[in-house]
Amino acid sequence: MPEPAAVATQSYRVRGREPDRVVRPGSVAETQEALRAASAAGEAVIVQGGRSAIATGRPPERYDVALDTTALDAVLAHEPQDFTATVQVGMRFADLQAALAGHGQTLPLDPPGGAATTVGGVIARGRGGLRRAAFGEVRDWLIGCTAVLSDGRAVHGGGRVVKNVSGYDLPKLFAGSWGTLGCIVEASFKLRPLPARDATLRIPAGDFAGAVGAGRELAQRLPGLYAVTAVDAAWATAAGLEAGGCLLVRAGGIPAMVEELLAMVRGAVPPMTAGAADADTDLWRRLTETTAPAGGVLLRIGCPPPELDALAAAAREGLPDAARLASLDGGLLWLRAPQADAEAVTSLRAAVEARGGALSIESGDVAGADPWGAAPGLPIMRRIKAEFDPTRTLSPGRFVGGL
Amino acid sequence: MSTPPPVARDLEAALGEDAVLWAPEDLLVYEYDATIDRGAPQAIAFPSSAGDVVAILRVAREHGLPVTPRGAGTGLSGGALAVRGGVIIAMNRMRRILSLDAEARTALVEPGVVNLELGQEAARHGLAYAPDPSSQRACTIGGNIAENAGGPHTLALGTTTNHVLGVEFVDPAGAVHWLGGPTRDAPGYDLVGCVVGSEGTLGIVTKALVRLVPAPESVKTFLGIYDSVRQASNAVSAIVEAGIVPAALEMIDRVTIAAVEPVLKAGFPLDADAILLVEVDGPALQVAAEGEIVEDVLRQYDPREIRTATDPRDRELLWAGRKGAISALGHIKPNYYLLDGVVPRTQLPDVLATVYRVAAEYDFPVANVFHAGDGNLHPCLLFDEREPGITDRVLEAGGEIMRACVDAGGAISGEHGIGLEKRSYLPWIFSDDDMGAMRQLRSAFGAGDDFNPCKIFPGGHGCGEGHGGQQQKQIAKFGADAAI
Repeated sequence: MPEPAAVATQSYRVRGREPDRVVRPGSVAETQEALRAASAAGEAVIVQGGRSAIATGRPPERYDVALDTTALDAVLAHEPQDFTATVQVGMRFADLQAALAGHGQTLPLDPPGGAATTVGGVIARGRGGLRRAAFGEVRDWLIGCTAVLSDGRAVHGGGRVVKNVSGYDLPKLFAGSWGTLGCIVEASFKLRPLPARDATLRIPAGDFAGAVGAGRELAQRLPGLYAVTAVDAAWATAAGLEAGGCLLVRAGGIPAMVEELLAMVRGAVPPMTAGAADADTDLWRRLTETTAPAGGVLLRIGCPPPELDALAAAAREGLPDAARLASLDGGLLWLRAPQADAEAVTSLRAAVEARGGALSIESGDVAGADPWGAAPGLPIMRRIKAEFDPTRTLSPGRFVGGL
Repeated sequence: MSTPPPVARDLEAALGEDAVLWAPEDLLVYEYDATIDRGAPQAIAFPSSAGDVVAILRVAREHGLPVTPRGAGTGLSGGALAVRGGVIIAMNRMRRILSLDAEARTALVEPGVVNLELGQEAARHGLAYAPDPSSQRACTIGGNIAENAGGPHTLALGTTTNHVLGVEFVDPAGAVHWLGGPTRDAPGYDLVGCVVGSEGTLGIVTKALVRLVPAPESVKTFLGIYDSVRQASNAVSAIVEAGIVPAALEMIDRVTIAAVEPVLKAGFPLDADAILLVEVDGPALQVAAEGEIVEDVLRQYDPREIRTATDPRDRELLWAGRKGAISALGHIKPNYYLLDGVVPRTQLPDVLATVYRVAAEYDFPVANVFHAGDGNLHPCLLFDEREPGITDRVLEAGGEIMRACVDAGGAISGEHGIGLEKRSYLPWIFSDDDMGAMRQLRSAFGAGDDFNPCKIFPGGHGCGEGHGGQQQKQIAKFGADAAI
């Protein structure tokens, strides 16, 4: 294969460590060869695309080779009439969305991380976003995938059909595996029609706790909404929203229905005054593009939505300076703190886990705190890692329990 | 009076006498599922808890016997059969709904809870459990999890895998785990995603935390009668392309119409070629707006007639022809071979044409009743097993039809599973490396040769030759509660 020797290794740092070399395969076969060679040589590989979540996870035990997927960026098939698409994973997620939008279609996922985020990164993280109450997670849209294991085998699971019980559901295994089981190279998704209208109502709310309470009630009463999200003034500023703290309500579908839904929202939050509905969906991207402040941390809490009130209060107490975003229908609480010590993170995590949720450190170093928290079924996960990556080639030590 | 085999004695000692069956007349009913093949177990054990499951696994291991988990036995791929004998772990006595949290919209249930019972309990809280296989009066949540069960109403909301958040799970070595959690946020690999749809071959689910959805405010059902399957198929595509994701989008064909009309007297013209059933649900306003579009589209493809219904009784009448279809087919021939292929939706007209051609070549009547919206076909080959040599021919015809699904870019099961029935076809869609990775996943869960053997993967010690061997008798008789 062509040797991309000239690539600078310093732009592939992971948690302060620099790799010895970079490979940027242009095909599945080249990916197979690269991983076969690395595992045979006992090298550790970190697969990366847009690097928007590269800061998440434990520092690598070892790091020799950066495997850059961004040359694998082809659309392999888009069957608009079947509402499916198959792509290589180095493609930017935003480019895929743009291509789909040209056919009036979309993947209703809102991955954090901004423009550089690749399809592979979205799958490896496996998470839905602020519309997850309405549309679920990545796993719910990924219908098939091919991954290259560290020994060079390319393995495929699922298919290109929207409903399938043929063999084990390997796409579910790879989605959310954070690059520790294989390098995902190709992925098939089912798609949705773009709604005729997609509108957002911005309701100014100076008091975050009040917005959380009002938003919870809305989400409970009007289950047909796309998203109900509260941000405080600090988060709004970081995301470039002018309005200050607010409750954001998103509705999509047939225009008459959207108008009616938003009218019901206006009627349901009487003490607050709703602004005009806004067709700008870009603000939702900006909301989750927010990274950790310099020297600070970005925390993500996922929990059953009814627990949000209590957990927002606990977060306020433990990290009083943190900017906050809460998905009130989806059960997410994001915290952006200028600083956090292990004690604050660990005690907040205990409160979150006691209420059925999970807390992860998305970026920023907190000495003495685990980025992941408790993983149910860890013994089985260890055995899966041992089966799929016995040489511990792929992101060794980075994921839960040091997988 | 016969005496219990040693394994039954030990099971009785561990679980109590009333939790074990071993008398030959009691075992008989557990030799079958909704297919007609059989496997003869030595004992049936009924656990009441994860601890009981652990004990059963231990006793079976001490006797060197295989175990096979079983729900209601309504499966259509031979998944619940004790192919190599041994102990059947029947989950039917673990049938409590342990809790339902209406605000979080989740329910914690035992695996023996019947699908419909959960639906009814959810309805009391204004909620619904979305997966609704046609066997929902009998089939259990545990079996649904094993097969990743679908149903007519999963087009918009997905199959079982989209609705299971966490499980209490006994692995084949007897360790009890909690996998997943109340939300999708538990860090680590998606083990719940691996377990759902694994056909009971990775371990045994002893509790499940499932997601409930708000019951729709309003529902409208359309029935369109068409002169050609192709026109009806085109209407299906046009509805989806209009930007609508209906709650259900079903089709029944001419053979089915001819079978159901004499029974139901629904006024279906016997010379019509296809009936489409379309359902939209959600907020009243959305149903009104989407309903208008659906009706417009249905009209564009020259229907003979369109019927609509919004109130539950009238809607049920429209659905009667669909839901009663399989049993009505018994008036044509006593046996059927029900296939479960899935293809990209745009391939439906061509694949259907192949289905009719293959059936004609082999001289079988074929009825098609299926989930058109997600490309999930259920061709049903009709025959009389008393004709010598006919089972070989029906299996051969079935194989050709499955081949056509694969050639069209599809897969060999949409919702019934591979089980025993289709394991010899798995290499049609997966390479040795693909299947190797799947077997590694099975090893990682600790499932050896004695845990639910002979399912999904071809080969296996003592499993017979697959297609043409074990599979020879994978033919259902009418009367089984077919889950399509």
